[in-house]
Amino acid sequence: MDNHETSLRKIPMEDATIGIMLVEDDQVDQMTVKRAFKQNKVLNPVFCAENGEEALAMLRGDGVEKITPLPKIILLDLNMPKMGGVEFLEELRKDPILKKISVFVLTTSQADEDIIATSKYNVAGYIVKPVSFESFREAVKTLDAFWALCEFPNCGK
Amino acid sequence: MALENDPQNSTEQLNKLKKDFEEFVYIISHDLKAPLRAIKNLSEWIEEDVGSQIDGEVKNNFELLRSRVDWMNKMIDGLLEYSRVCSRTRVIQSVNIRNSIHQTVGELFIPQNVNVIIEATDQEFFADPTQVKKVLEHLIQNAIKFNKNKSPMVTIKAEKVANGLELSVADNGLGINHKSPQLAFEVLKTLHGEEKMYSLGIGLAIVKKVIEDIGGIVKLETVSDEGTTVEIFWPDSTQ
Repeated sequence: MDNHETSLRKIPMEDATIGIMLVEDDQVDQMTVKRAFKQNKVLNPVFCAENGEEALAMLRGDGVEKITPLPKIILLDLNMPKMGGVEFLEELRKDPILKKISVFVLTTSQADEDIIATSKYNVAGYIVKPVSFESFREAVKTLDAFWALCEFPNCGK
Repeated sequence: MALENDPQNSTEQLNKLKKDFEEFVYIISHDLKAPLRAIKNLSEWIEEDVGSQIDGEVKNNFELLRSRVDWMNKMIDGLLEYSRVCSRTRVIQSVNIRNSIHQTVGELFIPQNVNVIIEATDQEFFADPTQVKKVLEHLIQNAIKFNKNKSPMVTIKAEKVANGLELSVADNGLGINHKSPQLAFEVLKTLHGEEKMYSLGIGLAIVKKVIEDIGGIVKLETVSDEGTTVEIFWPDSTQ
């Protein structure tokens, strides 16, 4: 049961069906994100991909159904099989249509290496995957506030 | 075997071994942390979702479960720190020991009632400042942690000598009530029963590793219920 007194809040985007993409291979980490969104009353759909390759396929409609409209935000885990987070970012930024999507990197440590490796790909922010769900929930609150303050470039819908 | 006859090659091999080991530990700790995170999250969600239906004992069990997860995370972090201690490339600089001690003490959380005394000469010696800080941190933290004295006191002394530095950290705390107190230098060894859950037993192991790797000496003197003193001879580094 959700005991939090959060008032109903929608992400202020033109269309509440515009989604968030989560690129994360760990099942429980995926659940963490979805649960944190739910508890923060984030109503936008969450599209999950388990690795970079799958994510790109979903964004391009390459062998799978294309996500329409394109998500405005990608939450990206760096450590994934097949195509890792950094490779994915590189591919994303090369793509003329996809390159404008805001990306938040989920990192398991405050390791400078992660930040340095991804900094040249215009990352919107870093979220450390903490051990406690409470702190992740707080991170989502901050994310929510960030969205409310930003204007998103047109993603070519 | 070429290893013994070729010093240059054996140094390279040793460095590679160290690096491989550090990478190995990093990978393991990373892979171990993911399921721990999952266990902790899942237990929180279960507790949240079951809500008011659970009684005190069940709640308590959940808390114990999470405390064990936290403990395991700490162990992994501690082991990672230990593995990195000597595989990280040293950056040798001229270090002012008095400044270094004051800075380290300033950055640590020290409870109000602890009296920290610093007797350090305003002198320089050659060492990696990060390692100096790390050694000081662990010793000071130990001095505070293992101390139930009504007026806890930590005394840090440092004096430059011929080819290095003499450093000591003393406390008026519990001391080590064990027939082999030198075991305290071993990894994950804790010699205090009731303190076990709050102490990894890795601080002294790290200190020992840092010091011995540069050819220094570290000694421990302790009297049960009176206190412990750790003395270090830190030789000037040249590389």
